[in-house]
Amino acid sequence: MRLITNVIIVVAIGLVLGGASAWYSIRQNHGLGGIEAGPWTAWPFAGGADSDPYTTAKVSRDGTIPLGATEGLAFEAMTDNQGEPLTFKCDYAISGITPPSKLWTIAVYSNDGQVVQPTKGNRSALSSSKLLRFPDGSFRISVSRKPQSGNWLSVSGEGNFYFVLRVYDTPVTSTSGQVNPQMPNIIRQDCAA
Amino acid sequence: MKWRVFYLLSLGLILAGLIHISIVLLIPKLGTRDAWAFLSNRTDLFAFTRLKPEESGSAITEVDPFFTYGVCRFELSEAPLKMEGPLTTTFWSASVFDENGSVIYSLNNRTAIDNKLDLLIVNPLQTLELQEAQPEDVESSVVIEAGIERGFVIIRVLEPDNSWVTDSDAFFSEIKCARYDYS
Repeated sequence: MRLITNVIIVVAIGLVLGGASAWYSIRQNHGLGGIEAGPWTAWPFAGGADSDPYTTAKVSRDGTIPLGATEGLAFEAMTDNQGEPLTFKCDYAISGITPPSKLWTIAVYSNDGQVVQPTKGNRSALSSSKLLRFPDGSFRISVSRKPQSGNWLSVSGEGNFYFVLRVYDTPVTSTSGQVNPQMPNIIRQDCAA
Repeated sequence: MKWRVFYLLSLGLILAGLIHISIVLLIPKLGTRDAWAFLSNRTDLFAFTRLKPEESGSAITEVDPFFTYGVCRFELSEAPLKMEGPLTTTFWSASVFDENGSVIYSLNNRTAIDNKLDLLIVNPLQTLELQEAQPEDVESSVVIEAGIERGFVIIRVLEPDNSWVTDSDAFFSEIKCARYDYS
């Protein structure tokens, strides 16, 4: 009797801790195998043949097609600069600069990996080619359910979302030692009650 | 009693470690949302297929809305793959994947020879055959020697807005993905 209890306790500890830690370590915004810049995380080796098992598991679980090193690099942000999860209840401002690249795009995704539906006639994704910039080359993008002046990412929905900023044809991936990429800040603005 | 708790806890932790490692290692093998399992059911060998990620039931997530995608699946044990595309002004990039979804080679229109998509993917044995045959039609090709049997090439083409759809349609319609014959 005592043996059975012992076995049950050991198996329970193993399953709960092992399962939870495995799930946690391949969750989208966990930094294992990634490089971080503020709220952004990128997996520069997601596509590589020598990618680590955590990154491989993450790519497989997410069902994404990773970008090759010559193609570009995808940065994900699931939180704002304060570390708070991104929610549709709040407006956000994305401002700053991006790593040097030929072009970049930013899109809003819901947690199932699909692009968030914008309000009718608008876009929930922006590309660098159609961006309004300040004279110094930096930019500010408003993320809101209501129309905004300037660059506006239109979103609608419930719950949480995340951003993916992809830089294409960028020296960031080819520079040895992975220079710290400069990424824009994500600052929370007004929130609906 | 104290020792029993300690003993059980450490056994549990060891088991947890084993389970953790096996889950992480098994997910790519057993994953049902795997993009690669999805692709091989939907596409033919040596045929260029446009991907429609917006289709329902697609396992491919996190697609860039500014890009359109196409895939070419190959099996080197059958024949080498020759891939060609026309000259275009839009940004495009291509990645060669093995069947586990690892990128073994990637290029974009700036790094390609004459900005043209022209790839020849061979396995080590075919490299030798190629050196012997020295065919002229692959002189301008990027030759990729890959120690794999099966894989995919994914082409991404930038489509900044709807007015570019005709351009990328034309580009995609001219992409060739075919078995290569030395003789």
